[in-house]
Amino acid sequence: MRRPIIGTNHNVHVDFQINRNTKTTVELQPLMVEKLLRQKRSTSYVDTVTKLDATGVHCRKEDIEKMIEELKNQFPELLEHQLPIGIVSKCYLGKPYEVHTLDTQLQIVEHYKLGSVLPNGMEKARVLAMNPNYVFVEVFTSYICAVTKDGQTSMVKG
Amino acid sequence: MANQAISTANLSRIEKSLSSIDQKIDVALSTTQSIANANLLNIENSISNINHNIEVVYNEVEQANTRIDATQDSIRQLAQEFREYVRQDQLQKNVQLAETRLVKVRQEIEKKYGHYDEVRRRALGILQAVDISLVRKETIESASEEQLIAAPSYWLAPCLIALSAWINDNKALAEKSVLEALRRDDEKASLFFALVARRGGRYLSGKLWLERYLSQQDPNELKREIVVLIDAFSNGVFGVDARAKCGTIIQKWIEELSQKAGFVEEQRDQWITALRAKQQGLHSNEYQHLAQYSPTWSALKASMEGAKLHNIIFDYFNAIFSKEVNPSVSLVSAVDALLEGLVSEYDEEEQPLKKEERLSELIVNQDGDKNKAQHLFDQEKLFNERVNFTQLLTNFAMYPEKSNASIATQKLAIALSKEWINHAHQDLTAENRSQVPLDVAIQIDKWTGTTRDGSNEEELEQQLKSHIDSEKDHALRNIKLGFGPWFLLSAGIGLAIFAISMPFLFIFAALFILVFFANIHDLNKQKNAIHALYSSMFDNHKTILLAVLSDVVDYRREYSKEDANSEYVEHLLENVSPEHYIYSTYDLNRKVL
Repeated sequence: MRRPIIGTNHNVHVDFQINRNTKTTVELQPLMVEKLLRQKRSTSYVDTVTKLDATGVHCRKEDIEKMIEELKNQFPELLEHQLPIGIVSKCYLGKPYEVHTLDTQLQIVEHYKLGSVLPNGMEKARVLAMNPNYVFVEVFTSYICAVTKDGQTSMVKG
Repeated sequence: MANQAISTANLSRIEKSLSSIDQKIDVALSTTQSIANANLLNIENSISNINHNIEVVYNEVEQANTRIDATQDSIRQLAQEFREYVRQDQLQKNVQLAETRLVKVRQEIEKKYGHYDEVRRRALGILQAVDISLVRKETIESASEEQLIAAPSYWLAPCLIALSAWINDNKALAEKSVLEALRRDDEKASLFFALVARRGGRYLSGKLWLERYLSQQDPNELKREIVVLIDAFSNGVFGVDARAKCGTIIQKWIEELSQKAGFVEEQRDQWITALRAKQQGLHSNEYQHLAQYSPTWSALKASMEGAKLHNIIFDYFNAIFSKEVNPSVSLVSAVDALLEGLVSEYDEEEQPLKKEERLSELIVNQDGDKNKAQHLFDQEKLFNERVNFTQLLTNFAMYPEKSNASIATQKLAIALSKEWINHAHQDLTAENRSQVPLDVAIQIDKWTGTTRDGSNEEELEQQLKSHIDSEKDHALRNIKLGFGPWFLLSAGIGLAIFAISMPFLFIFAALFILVFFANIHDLNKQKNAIHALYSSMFDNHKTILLAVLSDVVDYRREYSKEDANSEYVEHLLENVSPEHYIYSTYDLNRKVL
């Protein structure tokens, strides 16, 4: 018997809705990455990161997860290994704390006292993080990006 | 009986012999004892002498070491001074050579291309002669023909023939010479005729020539004479149509270039280099104590120089925007100025000599530092045959004298480049801020300490005191009586005991003990001298420390002040818009863009 090809009443649903969380799987060239990193940061991202030590010495897990989520939303075109190694900002817990870091790989927030060295190459961002002109500093493998309160970025190679 | 007598006699002899032997033994024993005593004393004396001599030698070796250290320091300093002298001498020679070369190159330019000046002067002369109608057409015609013969490959010579043919209404000759001019240098000839047509009020032909010129331009590879077009555009020489056309083309060029990956980064790097070239060194009398006593000084100095750059950049841009654009009294004189620039500045044949001239100028400006001059020369890219449009904008903005840009063009170039300048400036600022040392190290002699803002004066003073005290203790520990005085004391005491039976020994005992106490007195004097030395050392070091801390406080304060100037640069550039810097001086109607 032949297979019917019309009138089969088979409804094929094709969903054309683009998922908001769709991420690129194509690795961008370094020059394009640099162009992306120079873009202004979103207000929600800046606000979330600046509240890093609002809850005291120990950050809540859900706060850190929210921060990582904001970070990924900020750079949807970047692959996992192109995202910042960490974020460094001035610590407002007071003495003896000087700066704190968000390690994006380990998903932990650490507070560092005066004189203690920051891990994973984040030490190079320390001076900028303590500068009152910037609210936090993103550390990438070959750049550091200093971000101002209104999301403007300045990049330093190295 | 006889036997008994013999034996008695023998016995008595034997006894005598024995007693004499006994005496001899006693004498021998006493002699041996006195020899032993005497030898022991000699040995002890020799040992003490040797000990004393060793001490003397040790002291001399110590002094020799000190002298050797001092000599080495002197030699090192002398070598450094000598090297510096040689360097200065070399720099001086470089300057002299560059100055000599500059004169020679200029003479060579004059000798080789001087006759072009004649052609250039005639081009403007012909135009101005026609304005006032004082020269016969035949004169103009023959003068132009002579120039064509005198400069056989020069693009301007057929342009002169075309001009004179146009004046004489000789269409055939005009067309022929125009074609020859275009064959020799299409771009320059098109621009020349565009300006000449504009000067003569021939709007349509001017527009056609301009379009011809623009159609040949690639924003990635522009020839240097484009500055004439930009100058004409920014100074309002072109009419409304041509100006609108130029504005559109410029925007297109920037958009086209911006699409390229890495373009923005290249612009930023270009501007970072250009802005950095404006940096000036700190004066040698600033922060003298910090310079002398802080190992961190070189980093501090570099940071301060970077912070002071904000004000230099602000003043530079502000001076440009504050300058009045003094337009020429008429369109004719404005075009004449542009034509003069076009025919004088951009002939490729002269490029090698012009390059040499510029490099020699830079060597003189950099006080003979050839490497620095070469680096600046490479960065300027003023003599590249073809450069992209944005590099040209940078040259107009930063090297106006060398790129022959007018004030109006400088303003327009800065306005068009403001985004890249801002990016470059922000990155430079961040880089400078990231290199400011958090802690300032202080080193006074062998003592080291750190301060952040000069506020830990008491703590550092305490550390310095502890250091000086430990140095002093160490020095005091080295000051002690040697073996000699103690031997004299013990000998004196020993002699005093023997003096009970032999009173004359008291003199020696007293003498020995007196010498011992003289040594003790000397020792105390030395200790007091060390106390005084380290006390004055502490006072001196404390004074230096306070001076250094005062410098640190001043440094931090000045750095903050200078660093805050970065905002003024940003605000200045934010308020700049290209539309504000396109003049329409010679238009009778209102500018509508």
